[in-house]
Amino acid sequence: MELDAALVEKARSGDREAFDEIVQQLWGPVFVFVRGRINDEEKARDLAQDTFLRALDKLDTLRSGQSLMSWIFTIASHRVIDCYRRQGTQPKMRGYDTEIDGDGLTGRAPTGRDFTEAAPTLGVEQAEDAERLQAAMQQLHDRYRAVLILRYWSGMSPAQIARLLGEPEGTIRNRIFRAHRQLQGLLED
Amino acid sequence: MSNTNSNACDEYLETWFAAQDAPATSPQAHDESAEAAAAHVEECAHCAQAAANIDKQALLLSAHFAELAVPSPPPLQPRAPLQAASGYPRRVSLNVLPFMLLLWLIGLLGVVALAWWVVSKFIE
Repeated sequence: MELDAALVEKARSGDREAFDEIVQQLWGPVFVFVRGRINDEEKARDLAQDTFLRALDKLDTLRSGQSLMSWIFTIASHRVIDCYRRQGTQPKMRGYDTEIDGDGLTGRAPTGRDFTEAAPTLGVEQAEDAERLQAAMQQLHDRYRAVLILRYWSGMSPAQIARLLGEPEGTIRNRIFRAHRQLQGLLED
Repeated sequence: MSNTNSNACDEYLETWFAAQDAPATSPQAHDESAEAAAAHVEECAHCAQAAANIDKQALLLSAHFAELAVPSPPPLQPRAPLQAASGYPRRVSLNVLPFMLLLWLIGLLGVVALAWWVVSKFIE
């Protein structure tokens, strides 16, 4: 999945067909991103649609050269937070545009447990593993979740993710690594 | 394990991971630091376990995402408040049911009272 810069420029200049093409390309990662936080498929679909409607409405505020994907992930993150606020609940989450703390291991066990101990046992029931993984994914920092989705759902290489998010490749490799580590910490909690 | 060792292990692991994820043709996959990191990860029990965890997570994530159903994108048009993105009416929470029943009852009583009033006027 590579977003054509010319396509983004056309969408920015008001070309609705170009924007619809972008929606076709980015719908999957954005839906999966939202679905990772919302345990309701219909609501996740509404929020993903709202994200693109909001993006369409505010497209003129996207700076030239700014990554459209990062911008849309930020909007999606805000939509999810708004959804939780409307429900009167406080999600245990860090928005896409919030800083990642220190070494990014905020999701680790507060006891500072070594992340290699109590590794998920291979051979335990797949369903149980999947359930724990889903719960851990919900608590993962949005930026970490985003790179894991692009890496393992979209099957993109770190170089492709770097181009899509407009960040250095080294930063993306580092972020994927730290996402794995934070996820490990959360799986052990 | 001391903090210093743990930090060193973290660095080795990070370098190992970056090299794993890099294409085989890239210099990153073959430079000296990557080879040193690979050797360390193989020898150090802590790092070997961590590397195995990362590999397992990657498999779990791929399986998790493969099972996730992704609907096709709905048309981009503003929705009515009670309409879902799919175009169908939004599901209503059961929590609103008592309130809706109350409204329905009040409406029904209103209609009955009105009918009673009209009939009584007619009889008079």
